[in-house]
Amino acid sequence: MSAFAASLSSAIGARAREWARKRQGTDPASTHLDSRRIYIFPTRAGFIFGLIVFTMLLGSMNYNNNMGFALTFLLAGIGVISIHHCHRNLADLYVHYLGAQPVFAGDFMVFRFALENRGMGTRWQIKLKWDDQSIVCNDLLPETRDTLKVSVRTQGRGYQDVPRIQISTRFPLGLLNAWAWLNLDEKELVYPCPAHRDSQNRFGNSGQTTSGYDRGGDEDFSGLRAYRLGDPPKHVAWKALARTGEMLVTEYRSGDQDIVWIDWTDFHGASVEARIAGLTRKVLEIENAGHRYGLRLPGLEYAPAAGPAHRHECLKTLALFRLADTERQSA
Amino acid sequence: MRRLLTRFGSAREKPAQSKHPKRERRSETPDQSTGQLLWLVFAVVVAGAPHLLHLHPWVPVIVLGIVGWRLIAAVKRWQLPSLWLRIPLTLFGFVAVMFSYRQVTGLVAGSALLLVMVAMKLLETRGHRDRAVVIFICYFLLFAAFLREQAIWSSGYLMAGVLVSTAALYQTARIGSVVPAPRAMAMAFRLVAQAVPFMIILFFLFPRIPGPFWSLPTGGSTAMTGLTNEMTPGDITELAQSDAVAFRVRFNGSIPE
Repeated sequence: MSAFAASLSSAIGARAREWARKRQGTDPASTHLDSRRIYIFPTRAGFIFGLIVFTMLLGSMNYNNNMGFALTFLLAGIGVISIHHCHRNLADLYVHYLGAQPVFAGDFMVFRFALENRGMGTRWQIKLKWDDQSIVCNDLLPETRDTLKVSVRTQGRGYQDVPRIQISTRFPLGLLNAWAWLNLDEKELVYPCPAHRDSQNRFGNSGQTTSGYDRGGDEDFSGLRAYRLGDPPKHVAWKALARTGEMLVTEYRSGDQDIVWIDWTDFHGASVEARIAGLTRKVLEIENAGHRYGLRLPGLEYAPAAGPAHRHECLKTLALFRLADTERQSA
Repeated sequence: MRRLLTRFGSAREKPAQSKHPKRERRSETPDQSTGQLLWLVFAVVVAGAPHLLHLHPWVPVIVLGIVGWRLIAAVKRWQLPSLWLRIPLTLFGFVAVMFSYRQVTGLVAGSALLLVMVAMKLLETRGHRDRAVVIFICYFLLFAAFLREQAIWSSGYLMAGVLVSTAALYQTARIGSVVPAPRAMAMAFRLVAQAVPFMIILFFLFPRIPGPFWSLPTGGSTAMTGLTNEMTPGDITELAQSDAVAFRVRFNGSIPE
C-alpha cells in the first residue's frame, strides 16, 4: 500500500516537474525567481495541522466555547499567514550559476551556485535539492549572497548536464513547502577516466617517444606546485602538507625538455574507450613529468607544448573524441 | 545544555554522498537536534502545566519522569527505546488512563490521555513530522485548558503557551540548527500578532449552533435533573427556569376536554 502510494506520488511529481519545465522553459545562468514560478503546497505536517484545527473547531462548536473558538481561529490564522511568509521567503530570490571545474569521469563534479538576496528581509534556510541529495543555505541577510556546491557523480567522459535543481523552503513553521524549479541548459566537460597505472604495460609502451619519458625527469628537484588531480602520491610534498595544510607536489625537471608524442596507435588493438583511458593517463603523467608533448589522434594533431592550457586542450579532445553522435552534435 | 541552547551559526547539511541518501531525512545526530528537543520539552511543560493539578497524581509523575529521562538520554547520547518497548508503553498508558477515569473521551480523561501520549511521543522524535506532532498535541492541550478555564488570567497564560508552542514549532521546523531563543519568540510573536485580525474576523462571522450537536460527555461535572434521595437545606440556592420544550403529546382521537 505504501509502496503504491510512493510510486504514485513520485509519478505525479515527475509529471508536475515536466509540466513546470514546459511551462517555463530553460533558465539563464542568472535567474530571478518571480512569484509566478513558485509553487506552494502543504507538507504532511501541514495537513495534520489542518486536521487538528478542524477537530478544535468541532470541539468548540460542541461545547459552544468562545475561548475555544478564539484559539481555533488564531491557529487557523497562523496557518494562513504562514502561506504568505513561506512564499515570500522564496519570491524574488536571485540564483546564479557559477560554473564547474572539469573532473575525470567517475569523480564528483561540483557545480557552484550562488543565492542572492536583494530584498529587505532575511531569507531563512533555503534548500537546494537535486537527484536524491540536498544542501541547505545559511540564513541570507539582506543584500548578501551565499555560494552552495551541488555535487554530482559523473558517469562517462563528454559533457555532464547541470542537474535540475529544486529550490525550496518550509519557512516559517514547516507546514508548507514552497519551491521553484531551475532548469539550466548548461553542461560541463568531463575528462575521460585515466587508465590504471599498470594497465599501460598491457598495451605496450610508446615506441615513438624521442626519448623515454619513463625516466620521468625524476633527477632534479625544480620546485613545488599546487596539487592537480592525477598527480602520483609519491610526488606529494607530505612535509609541506603537514606544515602548511596545502597540498603541494614536488616537481622534477630533467635537464633537457624532451618532446613526447602521445599517439592513438600506441595502444594498438585496444577498444576506443581503453585507448582513450590510456592516452589520458599518458597525458597526465607526461605533463606531470614536465615534458613537452603532442597528441596524435586519427585526423587530429596537437603540436607539442606543455602547461595547463595544453593539458586541458588535450584532455578535452580526448573527452569528446568519438562520442555517441547525438552527444557530439550537442557539443 | 546551555551550550546547546545558545548555538548561533546554522550548520550546513553536507551533501549526502552515502549510498543511502534517503536516510538523510531521518538520521539526525543527537547533537543537532538537542536544541530542538529542549524547545519541544519546554512547549510540553508549558502546555501541560495547567492540567497537572486536575489529573490523577500518577499522570504528572509519569509525564515528568519520561521527560526527564528523555533529556538525560539526549545529553548522555543514550539509545532511544525501540519500537518493541514503545508499543507496550503506549498501550500501558492508554489502559492506565482508562482505569483511572473509566473512559478515554471527555475533557479530563482526554487531557490525561493527551499528556501521556505526548510524553511517549517525545521518545521517538526523529524527523520533522514527529516533532511537529508533539507541538500539535501541545496546541490541543492548550485548547483543552481553554475549554475548562474561562478566567481572564488563565487566558493570558494560555496565550503565552500558544506563543511558546509556535516558537517551538518554528525551531523544530528548522534544519539542523536552532536560532537564539529571543529571535524565535519574536518570530512567534510576529506570526501570532499577524493572525489576530484573521481570528477576530472569523470569531464574529462564524455561525454558532446553539447547544451541543454531538454529545461529548463533559467529565465529572455532569449533572442530572431530578432530586437526589437525600437533601439538606441549602443544597439548592438558585434554580433557573427553563422554557425549553419538555415533551410533545399526540392524541389518537380528539383532544379530551
